[in-house]
Amino acid sequence: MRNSEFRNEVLGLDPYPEDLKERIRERIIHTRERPLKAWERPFLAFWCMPVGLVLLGVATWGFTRYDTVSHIPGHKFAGLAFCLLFGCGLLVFCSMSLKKGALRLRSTSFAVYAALGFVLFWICTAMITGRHVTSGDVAGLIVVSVCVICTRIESSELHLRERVLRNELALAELSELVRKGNENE
Amino acid sequence: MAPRRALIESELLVVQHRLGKAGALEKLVELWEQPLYYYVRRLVNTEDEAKDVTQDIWLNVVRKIGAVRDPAAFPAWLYRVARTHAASHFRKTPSFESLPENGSVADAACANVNDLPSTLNAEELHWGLSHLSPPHSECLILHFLEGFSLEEVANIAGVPLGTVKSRIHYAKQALRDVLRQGASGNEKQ
Repeated sequence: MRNSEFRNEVLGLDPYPEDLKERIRERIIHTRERPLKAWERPFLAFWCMPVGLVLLGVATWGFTRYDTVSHIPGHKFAGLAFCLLFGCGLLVFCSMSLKKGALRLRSTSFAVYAALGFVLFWICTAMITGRHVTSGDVAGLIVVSVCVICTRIESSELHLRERVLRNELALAELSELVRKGNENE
Repeated sequence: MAPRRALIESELLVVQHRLGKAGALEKLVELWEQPLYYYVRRLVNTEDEAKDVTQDIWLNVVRKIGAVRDPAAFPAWLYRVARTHAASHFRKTPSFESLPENGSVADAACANVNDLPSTLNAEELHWGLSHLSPPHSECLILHFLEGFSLEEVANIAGVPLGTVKSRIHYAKQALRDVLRQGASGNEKQ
């Protein structure tokens, strides 16, 4: 088996074109940080939230005032409001992430946290509006909680792995230095 | 073979990219761009083609890096993506795949698949690789230069293990012939 010096020596015989390096970087930047569309702009998305909140509050209050729709449980309206507001929040989150060039949370993690938020919100609203919390609500909460724990474990695993790899890298660098030192002697 | 440090760094950068750390992907590209270009350059005919294919590979990697389940397997995945792109570039060129691939020869030659001649220097290997057919040079690059196991090479090339052994056997023969011809050509001059 050949050693790494030999490999680097062979690779060095075919110089890597500098213009290619630049082109790849440009294209990667272009791919990852595409220009934001109007609806993705953080400014717009940010103002959607308070405006959406006010509009939904007014609409909910207006609907529940009249007898014709009073049979619709309040928590369903609240659930709808939550979904819409959460959508706006998601928009802000995605816009910010796109601007930075990296999504901070993976979509699965985001879905799990969203589900937890929704279940908690649903139960709280049910309690406020006087609806009984059913066994279905509790089951939903348990399922979502398990998903959240799994997501947290996965995330912790990644952080732990990163730490281990950092240590391994430091060790590899150290052993390389020691080997070079020995060779020089 | 690819230094152990580079492999650890590569795995670390993939993990960091998953954790959303800025700049991890750029460093990953920096780490692998030269060996990848060298590999692609041996698979395609001209430098311009190699540049185009390499650009496409990196764009594909940026888009699909989330699909890599095991960060340690990133190098093999990267070369598989590169190979797929180079193959699609050569779809109309039969020489990319049509090589002698006799399984029995492969098994018989398996015992010899250990190393290249120890007297071979970097210039000779580089020159020889440039004169081999793409499947032969790719096997030698992946196994002897990048240090992938035979199983990994089979996985990257999308061929059975026996075929890889066979290709390495024939590639070594071809390399010896090419170097011998090169040496005799120099003597005549």
